[in-house]
Amino acid sequence: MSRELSKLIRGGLLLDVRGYRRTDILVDDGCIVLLDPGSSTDRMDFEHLEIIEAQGCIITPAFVDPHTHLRVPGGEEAETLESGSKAGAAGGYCALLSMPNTEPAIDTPARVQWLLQKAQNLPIDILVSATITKARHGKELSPYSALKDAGVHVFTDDGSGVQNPMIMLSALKYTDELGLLLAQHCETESLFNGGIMNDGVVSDQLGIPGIPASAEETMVARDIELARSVGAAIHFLHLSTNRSADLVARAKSDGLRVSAEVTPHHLYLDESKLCQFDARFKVNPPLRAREEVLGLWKHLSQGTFDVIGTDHAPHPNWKKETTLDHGAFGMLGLQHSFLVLFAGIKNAIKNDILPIDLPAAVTESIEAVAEDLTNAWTLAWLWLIVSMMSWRPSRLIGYPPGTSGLLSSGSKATFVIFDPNDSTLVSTKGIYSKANNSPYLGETFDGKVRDLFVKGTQIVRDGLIVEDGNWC
Amino acid sequence: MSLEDEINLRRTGLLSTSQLGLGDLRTVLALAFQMKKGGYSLSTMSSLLSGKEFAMMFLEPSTRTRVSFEVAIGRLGANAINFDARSSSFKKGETLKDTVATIGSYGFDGLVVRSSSVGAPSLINQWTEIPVVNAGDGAHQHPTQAMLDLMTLVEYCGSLDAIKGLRIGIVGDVAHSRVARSLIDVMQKSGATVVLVGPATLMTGRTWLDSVEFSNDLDCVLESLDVLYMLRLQQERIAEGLLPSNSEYIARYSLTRERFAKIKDETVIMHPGPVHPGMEIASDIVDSKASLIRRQTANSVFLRMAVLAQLFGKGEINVA
Repeated sequence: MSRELSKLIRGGLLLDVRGYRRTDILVDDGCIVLLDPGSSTDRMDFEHLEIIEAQGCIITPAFVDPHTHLRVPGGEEAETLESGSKAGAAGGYCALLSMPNTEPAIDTPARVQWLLQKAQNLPIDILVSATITKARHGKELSPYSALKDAGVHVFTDDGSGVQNPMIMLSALKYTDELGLLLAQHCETESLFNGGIMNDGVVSDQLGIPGIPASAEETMVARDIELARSVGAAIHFLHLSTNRSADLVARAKSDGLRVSAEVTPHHLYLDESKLCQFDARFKVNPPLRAREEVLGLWKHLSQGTFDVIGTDHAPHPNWKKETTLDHGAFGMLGLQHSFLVLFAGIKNAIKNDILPIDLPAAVTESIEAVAEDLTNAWTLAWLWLIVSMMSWRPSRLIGYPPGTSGLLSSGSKATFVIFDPNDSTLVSTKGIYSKANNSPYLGETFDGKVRDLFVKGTQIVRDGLIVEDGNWC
Repeated sequence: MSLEDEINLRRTGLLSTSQLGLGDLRTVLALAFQMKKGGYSLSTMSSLLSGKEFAMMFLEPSTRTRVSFEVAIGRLGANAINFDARSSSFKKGETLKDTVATIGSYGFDGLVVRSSSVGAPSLINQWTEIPVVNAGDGAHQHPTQAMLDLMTLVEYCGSLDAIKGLRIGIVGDVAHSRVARSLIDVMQKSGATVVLVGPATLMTGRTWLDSVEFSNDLDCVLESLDVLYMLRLQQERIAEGLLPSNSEYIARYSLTRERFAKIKDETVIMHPGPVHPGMEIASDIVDSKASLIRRQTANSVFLRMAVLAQLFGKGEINVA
């Protein structure tokens, strides 16, 4: 294979773990070299250089999704490794952590190895998580150390919570000893009780069985106390209510090793979407009330959440083109997550919800590049969001290549070019997932995930997957 | 009704009482009363929908509502074709959307839909673009029931305007009742004051209903009510942990003979049927002078005829 042309990315604004800077970027041999804007281009050999203009664009480390349902094995009607990783790449992701609630569930080293092998040649990285309990039945512990040897760092029964507190306590002790991460889907099943949507005004009006906030909050509270009792670390997936976030914030201030995830859809959509009985909006945990959405943004601004995970949970169209009670829980999320959050940022700023406690160096760098106050707040939010979609999940799930979040000369050329001045219309045609029932169909978002580079190779160009890659 | 609303209703059919204004209720009721008192000859009546075909999609068992719709359709000169969910391919794993697409392709003029799934009538209308009359969906809506209840009350009181200011108590399992959700709306639009009575586990509305009164003590409000609308209680509520026992329910919320003795002379009793005798209501009260329950049943056909004629007729009916 001939060596790829070196690339010069001109005029962009670089965002990384240290903050912002204006810089040109030379991509050469899989790595980057930072160049002062415009300074050295005259010395270059343009014949062997592809120029990529990035005026007005933001260049960030590529994203890492700590929560993707790739549906392999057993759910290939909804998604395959190829379709899921294309959707991820189009969303700016260089790595996805696949969830183990497949058919069969990922609970043995052999299944982990099978999946890792199947995914090894894809242009983006697929990491594998395994179940907390065998077959996710909540009764017997999975073989943690054997699974760790097979390459697993994160354990979760996601799709359901571990109901039995004794089993949860054992799992916490065991995984903590091995330095592994236990990720709980918080749902007390007896309170969930056949619910379909958030228990609140809309469910009451429509006569639809509700899922109370307490179904989530009781398990968050229980598990914080279990973790406290043995001094173990615990990670909470997809928290959807203010009270859950309050509990996490309190546990953190108590010095517990608690971390939490929030999803783009809980930060953008609310329960009113169910008014037309459209099962595309049926998701677990459910879309909550508008006030809860704003409350989650407030918690986001205060640092309660550690990571943003998509909980991308595709289903074939026939499972969504039905009544709410028969429709499946879960929605597409990988491809448009960053755009959804970008839209959310604007709304947060409008509501005077602003990120606090950014590192001083980051704040200084924003002051140096921002055009005005609104732009400064947007950049502050973007930095926080990108940190939670990139280097922080990378660290959390034990994904070595992306841990630093640093884009400096010599770094691997794995980054996203985001154009905030372009726009993206979500249409069935443009969706890379196997199912096309996105909750955002028909919406035009500001911004576009324009290009993705992974280790120097361009995977996405102008919003489209570069199809000559090895996607099988 | 504005022209736009009328066009909208003719496109969607009747999915929810929220589509109706007081003017619409007045129009439909006037037509229903006209039909009931023999204002139209049999031949006029049977020409109103002649040549039209309706599919009766009852995805949940129902006898009373289905039969009354069938009778109404027949009297208006149209055909009702039964779609039996239990024997159809729907049960063999075919999805609702596929089943509906098949039914939709037969060229029906209208669909009458009953389903345990909230929103099914609305989705079926979207999928087929055929107007749908909602004959009850989950705990959501049962518009024609609420309208025939209003008709019955108007008949008793003499006019729609006489409903204004009445206090109507809706008693029992409000949370799981599609009848209640439609009835609250219709009664409020007619100017009645709605009092919802039931235990907290079966109550709804505190967060979204304006100007509704709530009580968990029937005895406290009993004597202030002009209408006692007793809801049906499903036995599952006890197994679901929402109620301790039948006797506890009867002690607090049933219209027993003792409570019946305390109501005002002019207070009337209603129930959407079928009644569980001795449960929501003592059995001999059902046929008492104060009970409008038999009239509700009798009016159901006329009200449904009026709704169908209004939605699917050619618009030449003159309402006096």
